[in-house]
Amino acid sequence: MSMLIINELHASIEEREILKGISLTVNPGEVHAIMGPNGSGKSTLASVLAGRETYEVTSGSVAFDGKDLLDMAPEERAREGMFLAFQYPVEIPGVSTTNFLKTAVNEKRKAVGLAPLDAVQFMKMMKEKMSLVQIDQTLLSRSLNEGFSGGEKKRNEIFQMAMLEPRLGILDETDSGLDIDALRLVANGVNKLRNKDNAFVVITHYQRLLEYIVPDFVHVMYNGRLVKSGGKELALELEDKGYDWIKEEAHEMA
Amino acid sequence: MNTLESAIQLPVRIEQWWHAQQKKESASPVIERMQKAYASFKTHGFPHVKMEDWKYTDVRKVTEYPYAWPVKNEHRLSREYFKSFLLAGLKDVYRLVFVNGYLQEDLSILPGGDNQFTVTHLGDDKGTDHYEEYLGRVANMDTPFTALNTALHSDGVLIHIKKNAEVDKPVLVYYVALTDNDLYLIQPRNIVITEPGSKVQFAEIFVSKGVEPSLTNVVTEIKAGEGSYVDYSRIQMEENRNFQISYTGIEQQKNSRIDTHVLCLNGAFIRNDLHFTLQGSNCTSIMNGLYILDDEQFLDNHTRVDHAVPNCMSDQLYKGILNGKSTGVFNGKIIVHPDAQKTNAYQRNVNVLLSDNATINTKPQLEIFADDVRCTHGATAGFIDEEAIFYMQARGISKEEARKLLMNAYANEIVDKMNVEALKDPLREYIAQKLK
Repeated sequence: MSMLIINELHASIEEREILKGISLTVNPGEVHAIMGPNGSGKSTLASVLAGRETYEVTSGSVAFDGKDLLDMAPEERAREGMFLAFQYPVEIPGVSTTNFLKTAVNEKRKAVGLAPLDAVQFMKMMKEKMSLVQIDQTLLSRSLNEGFSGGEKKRNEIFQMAMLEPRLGILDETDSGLDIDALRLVANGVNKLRNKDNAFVVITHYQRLLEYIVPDFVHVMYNGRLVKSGGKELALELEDKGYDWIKEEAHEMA
Repeated sequence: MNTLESAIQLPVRIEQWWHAQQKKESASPVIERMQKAYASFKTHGFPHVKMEDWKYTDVRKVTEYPYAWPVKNEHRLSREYFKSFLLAGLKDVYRLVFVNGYLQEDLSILPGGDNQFTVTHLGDDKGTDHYEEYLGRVANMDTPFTALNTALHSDGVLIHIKKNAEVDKPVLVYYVALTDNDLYLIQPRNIVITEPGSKVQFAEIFVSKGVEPSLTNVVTEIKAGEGSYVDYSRIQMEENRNFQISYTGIEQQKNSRIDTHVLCLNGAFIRNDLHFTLQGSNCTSIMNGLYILDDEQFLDNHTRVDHAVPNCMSDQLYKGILNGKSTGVFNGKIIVHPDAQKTNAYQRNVNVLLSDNATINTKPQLEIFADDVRCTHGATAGFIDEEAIFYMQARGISKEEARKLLMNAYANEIVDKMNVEALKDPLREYIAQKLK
């Protein structure tokens, strides 16, 4: 069964339509990259899938493991196995990453009828996942994202993803603002999490990240639509030729 | 109380109480000081909203009740009953308990010897040297409620910390208002003197129980000697029918440090004045504040720091959470007098409004008359960070839970700064309950 089926999704903000009919199917084990110029609607798609209230879905449907995703509150989506790695992770003063994740992990366990992890089990899990993304213990005892560098914030997102073990990970421009070393660390983390049961949607402006997280499919978004799809070689073509030819093609079609 | 009696206005009652008290006293310098204070109160009366310092605080809401004057020993608490109050029954503390304004000595816990500090019961002996030396020396007599307390306080203690003494346990003073039988005007007066080089943790805790309102008008004077360190907490958690007007005057000699933690966690109406006078150089004055208001609660925090000498530092952070139809007022005055060069003064007041019907009036006020100083101030009022809530939701945490996590963390920043460890966990719990 397909994990995610997006069908003719339209969404707008303050009556301005941003998504103009998106259709996309993601199966377990796949990595999809969504590329496109700035303002094409990539991040909006991520936000709508995660359930951000500022966007209004005007038509279309999204099924996640056969359930109506759009009917769920953001926290229900997360408990069902969706994870959004934020483009701009939010600073939460006074709440440590450790405490935050303990609450999140146990909320998710509660939702599927599992007992909460005790302190020892939780620490064991933390240690295991920390090594995946090479994140430092001291960072996790500090207030969540507060005063973190750009790279630390993004690594923290991947660490949270590792802890919550989602079925579907959506990475919203996780590569933006990262230097090459940080990019590698983040990509390695994601690669270690990849398996035949989960899937990833990687949203990016540049091809660079896709050298490390190799996608099965590349889609190009322009003006609220997926205008072109292909294999990983499409990303290289975009890197080579830029987005202008996509724009021209799209206008010719319209 | 019959209707005829209850029709008598508070100022008239106060006059009656004053004359009754005067009949009992013989002339002394202390009595003279009290007479002067009474004359000042009688001239000015209660403050009103046309006065700048009382602009948002209409005291008629609390002065138009037919209060009675509590009688000594009329209300006594059993040990068990006392322990049923919030934060009561903490171990490893020194303790003094005031019930309706009178010290109930059998609930006191004080050190065996007197090598650390002494406690003098002011109510026993108005002729003592200490009383004469210290009463009204720090408090600003210009404020009508302070004058009223000076003229007509029910009872009080003078806590005298000896030179170089490091008091080994926190000194907690409880103020219990009991209003099952009647409504009361409660006026305790306490003085804390720290001799040079001494160190003490001192907390005032306000609780109440009963069916009638009460108005507690309390004055505390703290005189910090050279190089002494006072950690002072004021924790207000009275019920929703109790009113409080409090004045804390602090005078610091050189190299002294005072940390203050003012936590206004419950009560129908609270006005706090916290006034620092820095008289010696190299003083440090820390002001941490937290207020959590809901329903129709009203709170006014006025703070004032007079930097009179060079090289002192004051640092203030007051945080508020306002829910329901509550109203908060913050007025923080920092005055850097011409001689106070190299002053560092920082002030921040931040507020979160959880309801559209809550109001905060905030006014940071810096008045700088010296040229070589570093001062910053800022005030903000905003709603809860929706982006943070969504971020937590996206991790599987419900909106409710996210809001609680966020607000508790926000409030606990102030609790974390407190130094009396025994108070911190119970306070965090109380705050979590109130934020539910």
